[in-house]
Amino acid sequence: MATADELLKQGRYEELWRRCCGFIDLSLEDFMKIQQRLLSEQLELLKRCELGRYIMNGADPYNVEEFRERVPLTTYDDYAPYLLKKREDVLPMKPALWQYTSGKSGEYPFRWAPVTTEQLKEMELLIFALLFFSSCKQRNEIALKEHDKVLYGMAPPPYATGTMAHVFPHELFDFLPPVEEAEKMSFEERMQQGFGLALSEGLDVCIALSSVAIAIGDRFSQKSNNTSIKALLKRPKAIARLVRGLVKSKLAHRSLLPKDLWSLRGLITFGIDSSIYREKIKEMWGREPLEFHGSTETVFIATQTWDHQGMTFIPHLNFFEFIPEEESIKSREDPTYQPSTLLLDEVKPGNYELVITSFHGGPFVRYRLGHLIEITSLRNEQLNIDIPQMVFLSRVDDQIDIAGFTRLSEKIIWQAIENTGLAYADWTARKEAKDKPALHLYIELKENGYVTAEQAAASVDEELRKLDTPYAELESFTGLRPLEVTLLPQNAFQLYKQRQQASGADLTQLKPPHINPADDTIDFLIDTAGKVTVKAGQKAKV
Amino acid sequence: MTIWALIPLITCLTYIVLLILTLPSIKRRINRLFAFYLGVAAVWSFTSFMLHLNAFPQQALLWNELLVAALVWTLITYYHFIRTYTNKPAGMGVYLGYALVLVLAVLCLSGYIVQYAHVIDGVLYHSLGISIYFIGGISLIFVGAGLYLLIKQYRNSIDPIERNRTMYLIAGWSILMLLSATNLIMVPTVAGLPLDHIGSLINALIISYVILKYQLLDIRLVMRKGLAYSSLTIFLTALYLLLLFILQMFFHGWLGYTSLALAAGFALLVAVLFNPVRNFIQKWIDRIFFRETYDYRQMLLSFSDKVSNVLDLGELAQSILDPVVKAMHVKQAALLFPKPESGDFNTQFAQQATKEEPSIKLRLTSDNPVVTWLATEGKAVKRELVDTIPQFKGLWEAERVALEATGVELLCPIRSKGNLIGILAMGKKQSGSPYSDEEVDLLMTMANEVAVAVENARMLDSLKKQQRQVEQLLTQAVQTQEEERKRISIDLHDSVAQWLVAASYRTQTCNELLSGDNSAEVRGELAAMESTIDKSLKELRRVVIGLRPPALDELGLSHALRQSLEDLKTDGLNCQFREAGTPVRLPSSMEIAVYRVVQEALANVRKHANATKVNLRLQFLADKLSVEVRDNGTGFDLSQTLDGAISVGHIGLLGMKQRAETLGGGIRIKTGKGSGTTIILSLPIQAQTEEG
Repeated sequence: MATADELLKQGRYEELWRRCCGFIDLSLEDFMKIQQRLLSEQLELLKRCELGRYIMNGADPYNVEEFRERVPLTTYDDYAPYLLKKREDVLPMKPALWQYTSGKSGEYPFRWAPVTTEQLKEMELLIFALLFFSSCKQRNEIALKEHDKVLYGMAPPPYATGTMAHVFPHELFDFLPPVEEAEKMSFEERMQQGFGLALSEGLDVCIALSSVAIAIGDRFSQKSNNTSIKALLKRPKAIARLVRGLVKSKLAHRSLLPKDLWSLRGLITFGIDSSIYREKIKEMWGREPLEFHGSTETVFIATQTWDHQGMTFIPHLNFFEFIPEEESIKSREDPTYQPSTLLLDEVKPGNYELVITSFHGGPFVRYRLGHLIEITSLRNEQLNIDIPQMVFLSRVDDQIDIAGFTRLSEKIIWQAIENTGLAYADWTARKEAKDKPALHLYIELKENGYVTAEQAAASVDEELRKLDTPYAELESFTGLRPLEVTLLPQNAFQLYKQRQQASGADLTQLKPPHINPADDTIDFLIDTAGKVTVKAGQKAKV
Repeated sequence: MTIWALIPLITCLTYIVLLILTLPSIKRRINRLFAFYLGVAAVWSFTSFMLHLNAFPQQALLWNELLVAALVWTLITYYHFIRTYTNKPAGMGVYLGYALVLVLAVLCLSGYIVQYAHVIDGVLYHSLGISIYFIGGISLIFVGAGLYLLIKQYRNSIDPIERNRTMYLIAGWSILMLLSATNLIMVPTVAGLPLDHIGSLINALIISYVILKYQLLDIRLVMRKGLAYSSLTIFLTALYLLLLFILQMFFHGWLGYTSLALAAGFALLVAVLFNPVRNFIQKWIDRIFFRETYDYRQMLLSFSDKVSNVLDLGELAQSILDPVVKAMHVKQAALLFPKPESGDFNTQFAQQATKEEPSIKLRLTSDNPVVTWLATEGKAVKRELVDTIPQFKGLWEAERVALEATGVELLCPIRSKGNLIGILAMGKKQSGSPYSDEEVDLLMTMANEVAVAVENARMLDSLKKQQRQVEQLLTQAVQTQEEERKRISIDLHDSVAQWLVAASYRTQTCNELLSGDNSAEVRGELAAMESTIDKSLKELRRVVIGLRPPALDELGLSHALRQSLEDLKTDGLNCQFREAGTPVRLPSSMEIAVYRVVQEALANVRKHANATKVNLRLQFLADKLSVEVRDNGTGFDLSQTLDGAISVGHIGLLGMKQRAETLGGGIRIKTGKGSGTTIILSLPIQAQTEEG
């Protein structure tokens, strides 16, 4: 049987599209049939393994109704005793590899999750799907070809995005730099080398974290006027590309952007900030980024299609249940409360907390991911997709409740800051209640960001009122502005990163969390960082 | 014209025919490249033909110049095709090659390459000077590279079909190269002959064979039809020209209208002959294509006439599978039919090409996505599509593995009145080649034609089976009734009757005693009589309960079932009762039927299941009642048990089924050795009043 690689090489595009992207043409009924069948398979696997029996707490469900009725909802704490020790003997299926993400503060630094061979097989086809969706303008159009140049700017293994690179069809496309070389490099080296090669060889597809895509664009615009010609002399192709790009940018009366250098055929971004930076990324790269949603525990959950609107759920990697937002809040306030769930064919537009059960021998059962999503519509009218569409809102626990009036998510706050147009380096926020509960925002401005804390607060407040009605109502009802802003000293976040690096922290822990940082983090950012002066190009000792 | 001119002419015509046949399929890149190669090769052969024909000796130099450029162009185009065949992009080498051809063509036409050229008796005498080494060197590089790619492809491939395909291409390419190398020999009588075209012709024929045998380009059907119509056109044109020639020879004195009328008459004759000749030629070509399978294929096409009167399912299956296996040259084939109790499709009849081949043993559950697809879409499913059709994402890994392990290559639905009544499962072909679209169409045509006959045969088979069951049930019912009557008779005779007789005597005694003054004794007798009558009553109650449990009438179905389950606990089983929905009272006949089915199911658990756990679930839905009895026991082979039940008189399961069907419901049994048993009874309900 021909593999997806072979189908692409042989030009059997229709077959290839159907194999990789065909799930978007399923009816909701067919989608649910796949869900139910694969759940039955998973239940059989779970009943035969120690972890499954432990998690299901003696329940012996044989259909979806019984499963939802008898099996308790779970969190990572339920799996931690087994998964943190990587106990393969207790799992439903022997894993092909393990991946991790950041863990629970003070208890375990990482959350490990196994990935089975079957999951990897499906992942590979879905990566093809992402590539096709990102580069097409209509159904069945495959705009990519063999030996297209790909830049991969995601985190390395054992992060989940690193697993994506692992199953990516390397031999089909030309990776910049080649995978075997890239594996030996640090992330920064890899990106630097990649862009060097992209300047010479060209670039067709970029897959990157949103923040990386933005950082690259920024770097270009900042360096456009002081590009080292000497370094480029050895690479005439790069010089030609750069000259062409510079001419384009000068004609457009702006600084150099990636879009002046490359005409990308596909751009895929990932991260909570994807939707916030979408327009900016589009402006920089000249192509709208394709977003997808996933996690370490679930692999893929949903993906956008070529209209770049809501994301379409993927039927064959996880079983989906949805806790309505009110139920979710209630259950978090009262941990003994068992919220009810809905299935995908029962949801209506609105906000829900996502609950998943892994298929293909994965370990998670009725697992509360902590992701708050919005079902934006029950179908995609424009593209005639019969599956409900979603957008990711925030992590359930990354929300700041202000006086019970509103719950501000990381995404809303970020969007508000971004909309103000402030030139900021980074930010963090938490709820602080001195005389009244308020959102306290700590922002580090860039060198050219000349505003006072009060001006910044007024701008952010104005944007928050536009974005969040309950927030605006809170202010109009009480007459109080529930927002305070502290401007952090220059390089505060850079110093924090260096401190973390020095203490051997992992990639995900180099930056403080955006929401609810610990006291010592805030203290460091305000006090310690304020006492250290860093000159450009130097590393500070902390 | 000499034989040496004829060879390139035939080669050229062969290439043109192949090109015409390939053109409809040029949507695929590989086909496009192949068509391009055929076109270039035809040009090369044509230049050679013109050169060796020597119609205009003064043009020999020009044709030779064109020939040299066309030869190199052909080699590079074929190398390009090989790169595509081996999944490689064209690359710099190919583009460089085309550029060299252009340069060579310019040099040739400018007179820098061929110094002189004459054709004498079909033999070419020419000189290329030292440029022959340059041309030879370039050709050798592309030839070597092409051969290297093909050998590498052969070594790396694990697919036997692809290996065979590649091997033939290697052979063809090698022959072409060997004979082309004669151009480098400095002896005019060898180098001047178009031996390279013999190699080219052999290569073209080998490619044609690979297309036909191993579906190199998936143009087999076009080729078969194309060849038929090409042959027909050639034959009829030749016939017409021959007749005109004869007319000219023998009737050259006749002029004017007579000649015209004769010519028109011949044209009419040719038109009349068109259909019969076409049929004859098509049949002849089909025979060449299908060889010994031709007769079986014809049989498949007229299947409905042959099988419409066959009502024995076994005989019918045989008459389907036998020709199918032979016509398609497959290793094995099988017919799957649904089991009435579960709806799962199981292999019921299988046929192999040889005894050594394993038979197809396949089981597809009723909810298997492949079954759903076959039922709803009504199209055949090739194995390679199992990973492509999105609905099949719901397949379990074990189901994928099982499908793979059985060697099934193609599943054809047999549908009647929109329902899937059977599946024709086809194994691998003996040649290892995949099923062409034409073959799938043929099998689907056959499947559609036999559907009615299959349904009739299955209905008859099912009726026979049901009839046997009914007969057995009736016998059993009569026997049970007799036994029950006998038991009641014995019970009443041995107990109640005796005691009532005793009570009667005592009553007489009381009568006598009451005549005297001995009231104390009377009281004693009356007490004894009371006790006796009590015993009689209890016994009568026991008999009555056996006939119909009072709990059912007094407390309702739920309580009665719960009580039945409680009884099982005494055997040490862990029993759980669950109820869902709003309980309602059901018609008495329905309640007793449910009660009896559950009793039978629980009795089976106790007697046969060797279980430690029993779950009983009663569910009242809006329009139906569902009762499920599930145990974790040893399970059993359902088909075997049901088939054997009649012969050995164990008709408990059949009785349950009969009870359910009488009330418009049904029984589903899920079991398998080692996986426990679940019996689900579903009955349509019309609620009476709320229970309890």
